[in-house]
Amino acid sequence: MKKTVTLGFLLALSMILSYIESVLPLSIGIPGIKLGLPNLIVVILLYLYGEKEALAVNILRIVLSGFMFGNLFAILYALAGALFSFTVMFIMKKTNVFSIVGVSIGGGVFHNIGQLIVAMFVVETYAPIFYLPVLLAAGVATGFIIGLISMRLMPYIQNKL
Amino acid sequence: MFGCDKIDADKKHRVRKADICLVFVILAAALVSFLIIKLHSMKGSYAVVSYDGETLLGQISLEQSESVYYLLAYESSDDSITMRELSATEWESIELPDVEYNVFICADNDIRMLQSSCPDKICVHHSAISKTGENIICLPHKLVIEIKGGKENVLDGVAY
Repeated sequence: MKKTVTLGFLLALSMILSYIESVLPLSIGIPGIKLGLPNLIVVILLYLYGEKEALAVNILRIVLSGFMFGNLFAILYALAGALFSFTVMFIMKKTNVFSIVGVSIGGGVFHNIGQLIVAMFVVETYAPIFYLPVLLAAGVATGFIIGLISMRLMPYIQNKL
Repeated sequence: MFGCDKIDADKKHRVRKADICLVFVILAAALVSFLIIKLHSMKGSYAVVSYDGETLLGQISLEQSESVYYLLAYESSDDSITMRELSATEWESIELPDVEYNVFICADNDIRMLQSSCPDKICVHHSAISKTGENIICLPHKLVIEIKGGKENVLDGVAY
């Protein structure tokens, strides 16, 4: 019961983060780059409960906030990036080589690679590959920031929940 | 056993060597891919405008003496797209269509997206393009403007 409440609470929190990100895009002169605030919740859930809970909240968050602040196209696009990133984070966590920061970096980078692949399928050319260097670097930076925040938060959350 | 748990917990909350290695590996990959793209970039001679990856809307020469505006309108009723060429004076007097649209300009040997009815406006914020392989993509409208011409670049080798 307590777990259900916690998951619901974190789902709501991740939707708020989605909303914040949709109205306040991280503007550093490169179009389409986002900090990935909702990924904070996914990373924390992955460590707090496990992959099933993290995946469920992740998908629910995308579908719900997609219907509220986006459109169907945005949902599919976000899902592709999220599932790709989630699979990588899950595998990286399983290997036990990386800390939560490394896992978050992997998630950030592969979220971008996933969206790049979707973009290539949508426009049916290789043109989007020109964004690869920028997206790789941006994925490292945003993943690192999100990873550091989760690392700092984890001890408090583990004790409180 | 309790001691092991404690070490495990400590490890989880500290940046590891592997994390730092990962950062450098990915940044190196970014740098290498950036260099490969830069080395193969050169001034293009024309732009190809395509829709949904297959429908070719037109080829535009980059060497035009004066600014030319291009208005793309997406007719949702019969799923057709029209591309109109407009001079600067025509552009000032034209009314934007009710349907989804993109407007881009070809001036000073480069191409820039001026307006779009798409929700994210990523294409409009994109900088001007002029080098072979550079492109502006409006994903919601499935529109790609790609610069071609000049020397064959490495990506054409991959694609065909």
